[in-house]
Amino acid sequence: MKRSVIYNLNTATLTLIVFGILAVVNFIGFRHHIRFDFTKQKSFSLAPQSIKVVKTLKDEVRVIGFYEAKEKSMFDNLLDRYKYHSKKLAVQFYDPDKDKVIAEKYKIKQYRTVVIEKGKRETRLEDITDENGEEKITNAIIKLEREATPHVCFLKGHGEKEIADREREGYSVAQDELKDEGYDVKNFSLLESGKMADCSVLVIAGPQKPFLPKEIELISDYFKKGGRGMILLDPADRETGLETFLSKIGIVALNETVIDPISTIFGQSAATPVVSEYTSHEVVRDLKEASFYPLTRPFKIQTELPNKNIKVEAIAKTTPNSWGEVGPLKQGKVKYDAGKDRKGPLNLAVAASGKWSGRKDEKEMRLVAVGDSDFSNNRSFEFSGNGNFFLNAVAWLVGDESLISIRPTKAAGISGRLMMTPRQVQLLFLLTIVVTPLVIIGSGIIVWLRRRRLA
Amino acid sequence: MRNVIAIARKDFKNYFITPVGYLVLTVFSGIMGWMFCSAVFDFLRRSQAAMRFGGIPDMNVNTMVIQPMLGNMSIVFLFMVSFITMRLIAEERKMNTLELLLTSPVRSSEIVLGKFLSSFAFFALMLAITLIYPLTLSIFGDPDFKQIAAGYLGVLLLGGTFLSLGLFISSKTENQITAVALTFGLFLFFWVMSWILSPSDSIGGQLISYISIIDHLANFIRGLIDTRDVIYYISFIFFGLFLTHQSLESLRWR
Repeated sequence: MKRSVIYNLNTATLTLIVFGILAVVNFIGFRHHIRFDFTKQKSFSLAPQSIKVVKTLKDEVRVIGFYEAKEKSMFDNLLDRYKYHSKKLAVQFYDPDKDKVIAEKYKIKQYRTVVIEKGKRETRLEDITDENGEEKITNAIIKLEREATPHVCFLKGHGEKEIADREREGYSVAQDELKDEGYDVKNFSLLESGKMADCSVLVIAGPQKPFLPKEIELISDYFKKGGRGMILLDPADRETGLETFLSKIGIVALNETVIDPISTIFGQSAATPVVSEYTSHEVVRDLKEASFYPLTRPFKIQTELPNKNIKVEAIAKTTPNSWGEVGPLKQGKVKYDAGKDRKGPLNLAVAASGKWSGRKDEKEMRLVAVGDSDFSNNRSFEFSGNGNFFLNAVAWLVGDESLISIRPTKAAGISGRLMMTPRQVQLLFLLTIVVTPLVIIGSGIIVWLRRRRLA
Repeated sequence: MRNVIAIARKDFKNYFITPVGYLVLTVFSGIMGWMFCSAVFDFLRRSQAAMRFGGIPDMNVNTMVIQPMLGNMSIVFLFMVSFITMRLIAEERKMNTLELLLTSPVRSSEIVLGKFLSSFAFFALMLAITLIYPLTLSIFGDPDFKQIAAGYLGVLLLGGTFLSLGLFISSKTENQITAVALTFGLFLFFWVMSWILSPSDSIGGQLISYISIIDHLANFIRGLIDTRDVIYYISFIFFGLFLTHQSLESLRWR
């Protein structure tokens, strides 16, 4: 009896020890783990931009999710991807139905709300799902990481595109997207020149009327003092006055319309050139999608720059098939007139940067000039690379290098389709439900018969 | 090592001497075939209906056909494991061939490993038959094979877990029926546990969901191979085999 008791004790102890060791191994493995994403769409990995943002977090960021209990796994999946790259993210989950007190404290109105806190500042995001969550959360983190919110000022007063305009030609979409990136967007009038310095970026979107000389002077001063701005100048009959300012930097806004008979958008005329290859400038270096520009004018960069301290580069060019058509466009055919029209490739967008007087203590000015203001209006913003181009330009102007990279987008969900005819379905049915089991049974019978013969 | 393989081979052949092996394979592939076909049928019908309403819907054969199939496969397998493992040791005890085995110079660990390997090989055969499904899908569509591979890896590991526990239970009784009943009950318990326990953030809640065998499978099926889950399943398999080993050793004493 005694022997068996000792034996059992030994076994039990050994079992406990082994269990303990396994528990420790699992615990360590839990803390230090590696993930391998085996999906074609990389659903478990963050976009490069998100990884960049998360890895460079310096202070702790708290992410609090309020979801129904059954959707907790969606929240977990989303945040797991972030947590994998940084220990500075503290993630918490609350069920608004169960933890009413906390939900009240954060004034939660609906499910799928995520609150992100850093220090004393907080951002609230609504309707965060597995699909749209990454973009919104990354942008929110970027916004919180900034010391102050940059202001994007849209100039008014000369027939520019309006940010409040929700029609096809308006810029309400651009405004919404800028706000999503964490910028503050507002209208600006040159008459309130006192506040110009508050603008982090000045956007002049397609002015139609001429500027007063005093206004041009104000704008000039703004840039000279290290201002940042985007000038979108459509082809026009009349000069606005901005052309003079641009030529001071070495950018000549030509009075032509860009025609590209080949690289154009299907369904649009040849006057909507498509740019699919960009230069290596920061604004467009990571841009992979093409962009298009309805009715645009080209810029010429002078070989001898008037201000040697300011660097000017082209960022978007048209193909060699294009040309700059001089004179008004007529309906119907348009053709290249050698000697009159200018042959491509032409510069649709240029970027300038530098310290105006070349002194070390000066602030660096940055300017992006595009020969068209329709590429980022409500009709065109969300197509192809147009939106990204616009946002990248603003980000570069603000100095937000962390925002310039591939924004998290849904990978093309083309994988996973299935096309079958009824007959093919029948075949499938036969193969899997009938044939396979029959084969198994058949081989069983064969084996049985063989053994009977041997016996 | 040679002993292990010898035992494994003998037991593996055993599956095909009596009707049990064929029965398990037939039933399993029959059920899985049925589930697969109805899933594909349903998928096609819904794709067509959605296309008629205009626009290309987000119908994805990976998430809507293959992943649920892998999940179902695990559940079906859960119910069938008992039949695969029951005879491994229980029958040997009943027929007293176990004594012979134990008195031979073969070590207990080799017995355990050999028997486990045989059941695992049989399980791998069951899974191999189901490979027809994603293969036929690839003729007509475009499934994500890397993701499918991850899913199968998960099912393999999960199956290994079931098998090692089933082996342990088989080593504890002489009665095959008892073995089946116990194995069945144990796995049902695990399965239900992952259902009932609602997810919560407390440490207890996290611990419980970690223990749930089936929850770890979810990551594999979705295409994520996390070292955490791999370690979990391997630990489980190891522990099951260890317990079996202890159980055999205790039999030696009697």
